[in-house]
Amino acid sequence: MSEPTRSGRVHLSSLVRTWLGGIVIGLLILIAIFAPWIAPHDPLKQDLFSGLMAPFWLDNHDPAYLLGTDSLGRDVLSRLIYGTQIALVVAFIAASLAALLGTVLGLLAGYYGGWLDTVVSRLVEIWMAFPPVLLSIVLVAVIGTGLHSVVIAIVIIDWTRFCRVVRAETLVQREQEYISSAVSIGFERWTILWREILPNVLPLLVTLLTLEMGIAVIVEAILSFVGLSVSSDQATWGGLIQEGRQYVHSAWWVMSLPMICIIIAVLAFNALGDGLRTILDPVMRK
Amino acid sequence: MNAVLDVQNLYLGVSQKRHYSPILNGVNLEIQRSQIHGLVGESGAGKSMLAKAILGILPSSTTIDKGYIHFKGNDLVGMPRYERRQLASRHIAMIPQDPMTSLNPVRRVGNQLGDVLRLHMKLNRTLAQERVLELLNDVQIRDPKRVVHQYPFELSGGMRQRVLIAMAFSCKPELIIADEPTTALDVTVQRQILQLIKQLQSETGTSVLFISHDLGVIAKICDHVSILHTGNVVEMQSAVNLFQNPRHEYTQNLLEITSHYYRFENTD
Repeated sequence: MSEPTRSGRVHLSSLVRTWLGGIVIGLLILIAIFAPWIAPHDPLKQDLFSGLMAPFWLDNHDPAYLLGTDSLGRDVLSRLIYGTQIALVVAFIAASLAALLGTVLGLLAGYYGGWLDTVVSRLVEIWMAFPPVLLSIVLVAVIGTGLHSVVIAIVIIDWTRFCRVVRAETLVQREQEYISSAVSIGFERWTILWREILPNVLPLLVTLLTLEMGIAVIVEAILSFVGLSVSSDQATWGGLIQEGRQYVHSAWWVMSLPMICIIIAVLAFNALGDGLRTILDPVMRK
Repeated sequence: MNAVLDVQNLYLGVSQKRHYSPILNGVNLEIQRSQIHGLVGESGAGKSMLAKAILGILPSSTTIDKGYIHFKGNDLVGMPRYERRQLASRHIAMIPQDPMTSLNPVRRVGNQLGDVLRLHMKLNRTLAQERVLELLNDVQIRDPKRVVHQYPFELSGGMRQRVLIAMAFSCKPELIIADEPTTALDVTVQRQILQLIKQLQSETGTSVLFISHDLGVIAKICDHVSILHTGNVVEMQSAVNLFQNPRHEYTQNLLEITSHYYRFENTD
């Protein structure tokens, strides 16, 4: 990446990726906000006479249902649009809270070291020994279903991702000359942590945060799939997959379309994160 | 007594996995007011460790076992951090060995200088910004208005060292520790940096502990010289006397090797 001859190309493609990711995420946010106005149908309204209708490019479709209907005759497009709301709310809130918790613990453990580092590091190791999906299912089963439970489950499981990386990077930064220099100048530890170390960890953190948003979308889908997310009268992508699974032989689109939505959202988050990392790094920016 | 810094009988060592290796064995060092005091020694003699001990930035594996570091009548050894900040941090500054890694890579040069002024000189943001421009001007950086908005990686090694020199002199310290400030620079820049340090030192009257392994550099700028050998100061003299009349055997050898080296270079 540091080769001067190639930096131009790296710069351009990362810029393109950032924009692509950003635009897709922006569109998803708009869709989520304006769902009631965009959705052609009520996502919960059943029409048992027109169940399992095909989407518009196949035979046996109804122009009223652009992407077909599920087994109960509910409009797939409207359900996908409303599903965006849950997916994004979970992605933003859960990922941010996990990042906050993990970063604070990682910074403190990495900078202060000693017993604090030992406690945090062991905790992370124990945490990561649990299979994350099973842990989340158990967690939600214990604290009950609902949006807040999904968020809490994701935060409790995924703070370790941030903690590990931030701690490792803090350890690297702590040994740098400019930190010794800051210590000898007489800045307080808290100031050094906040003003010297955190900005150096930030590019990494932003990348992780956007990646985590993608992961949160998937975890929410998994929990919806097993029926442990929000209540079943709310449309979610994972819920759609679960319902579509039963009819996958006769109506593959009911299951496939929400999967495509998840893939697009996760890819967009990843592209955005990767691009932001480059943009936030002053060396790469030039 | 007119000493700014008085190191007495300093013992210091590194312990790694129960294995203890001594680095300094009873070092004595006295730096007089407004003088440039040279500290010469081969690699591994403990020069940088002595500097770090004075600055209070020893690595955690290193401990001071015995001795005193008196700065203006206060012993810095074992002084708690907050007390050190009050008494010493502002008055002992450093010019580091490697200007490439001694500035925070993700913060603008102006902000980094400004932070120091706001901490020690209690300047507000606007005043600090103005003062930063003056300081950069003092270290002969062209176009300071542009440089304050730049990141360290955009500056050359010489420029960065000038920024760090500006930082060292910014709060009018009584002692500056320059730990081989020119080793990472090429020869032409080296000369400019040496002149700059010498000039700023004589203008401000600050004392400087100038660490180097290069006797040529030491001869150029130092008033007094201490020779550090295997963790001990084996000789301390005025620079003039030392080069004309070295007392200790190690110093004599050192001078002889150096003169051979230069003769060899000249005939080449």
